[in-house]
Amino acid sequence: MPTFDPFDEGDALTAANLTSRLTVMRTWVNALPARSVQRWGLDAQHVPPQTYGKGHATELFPNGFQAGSPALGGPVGAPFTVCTNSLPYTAGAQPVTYQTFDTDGGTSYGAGGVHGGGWRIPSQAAAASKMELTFDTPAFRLDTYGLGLLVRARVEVYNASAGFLMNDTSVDWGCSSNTASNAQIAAHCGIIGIGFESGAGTRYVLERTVRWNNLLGVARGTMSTSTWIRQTDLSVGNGTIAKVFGVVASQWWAPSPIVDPASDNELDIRTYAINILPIRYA
Amino acid sequence: MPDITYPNTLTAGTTTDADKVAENLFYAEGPADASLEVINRLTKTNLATALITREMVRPGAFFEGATTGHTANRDFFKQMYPANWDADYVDDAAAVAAPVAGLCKSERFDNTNSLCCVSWGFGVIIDDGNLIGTGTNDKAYGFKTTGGGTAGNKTSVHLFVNGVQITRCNWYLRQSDTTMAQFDKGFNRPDPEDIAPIAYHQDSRWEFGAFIIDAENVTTWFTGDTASLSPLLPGIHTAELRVASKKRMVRFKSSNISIFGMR
Repeated sequence: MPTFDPFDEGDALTAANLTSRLTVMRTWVNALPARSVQRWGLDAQHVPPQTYGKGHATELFPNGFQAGSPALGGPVGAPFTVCTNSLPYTAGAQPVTYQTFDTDGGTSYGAGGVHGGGWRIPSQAAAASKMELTFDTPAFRLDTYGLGLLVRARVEVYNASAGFLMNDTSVDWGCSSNTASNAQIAAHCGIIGIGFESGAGTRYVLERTVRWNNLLGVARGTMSTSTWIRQTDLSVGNGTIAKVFGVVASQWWAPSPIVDPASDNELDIRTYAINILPIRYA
Repeated sequence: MPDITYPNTLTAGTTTDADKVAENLFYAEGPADASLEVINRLTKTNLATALITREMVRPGAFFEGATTGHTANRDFFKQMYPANWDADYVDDAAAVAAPVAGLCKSERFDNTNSLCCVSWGFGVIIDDGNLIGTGTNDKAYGFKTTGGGTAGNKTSVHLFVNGVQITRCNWYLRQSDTTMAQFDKGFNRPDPEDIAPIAYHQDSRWEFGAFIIDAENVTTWFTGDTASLSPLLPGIHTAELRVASKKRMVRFKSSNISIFGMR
């Protein structure tokens, strides 16, 4: 608290002694100590926006927190994306925590590594509709603002390859008993994941987000996944982040050695979306 | 709010002017925020922000929201929809879509928020009443493995916020032809072996999703006459998922939806 010097009885008023007292008050009010704020004294009018959105001095995502397919309206036509790539599967191999794949921005993100091939970032022709969000700062560190990213992605499955899953005697799946009375268990799966691109331009798919969806038994409408990305995740790259994106792939899921990469494994999707909530948690 | 600057400077040697002194103390009609009148409405600019603790911030200042859910069966039959509408036209479907109990939530937001997020999840079965066949391949075809082109788009879900359709959240559910009641048909009862595993035949599925409306995209849907319905503004806001279907029955088994705003 400042030392206030009240007027005493009989003091003469002068500009100087008035001004000095006013100055003390002004200085104190202009820099109130925090203890001056009562419990719950601050409301939404006092606190800054938490989301680093539009109009914020540090705008993380200039195009908003949401990206994906354009609005769906009018007659429903063809799906936006046809994914016919197969996510390579190696019997007995263990997935890596951070899968890498190439940065080809054209049609297919493939051939990046053992587990990297076949991933595709859904996108219509327009780059603006990519299932990807780009940071305003190309090489951003999440710990700069103590941020975590809550990322959620979803894809509408429009079409999957014709399922010949059980008791299909037309294909030799390698099972010992391939008759009509013994069901085969190969299943066509759609796969969805979330990844990020480092400030150095390398793309990583977070293994913990990769979700296989049996398109016959479980996921017949939408595939979805979510995760929480922290600064520690970025250490696999150069410690910075430039983009967050969603990926899809297609593959047969079956006990080895049933998988037949040459089989029809088309996966068509239509609408898709990814959104991010940057939340200060540290 | 700018700092207090005082509207008048008191100069030594001049005649005392009580009005000038008074204006420095309280001068609401003078230069904005210049007098000590500011004390009546202090804001963050008057504070040493580094010393603010969370106890000082009123609950709800950063985040407001609510959630709800439901677990009972909620059935939607095709007969409850108008006779003439085209399920393959999104706008047609959205126009007749009906809200789903357990997938609708209203909440009052006291503040102007930077974003409004809607999240949902539900389990649903689509039933078209057909008994599965007994042919070799039919056993796997309790539902359509493909969308079947436009002909397959018979059940769609639509997100509405404050009654405004969020057109980027229209999507279709892959159709199903099978029935849930395979043993109740009373004829051609299938061999149990033919319908195993049952999970392949009952057309149950789960849907999860979220959508964010923020300052960047809010004007896509909330503009002109609907601008005042923006979920970023203070007021009561509603998020709802509606379903339109031409299938025999759509059964929602479980559901939840949440709507929240962030400062």
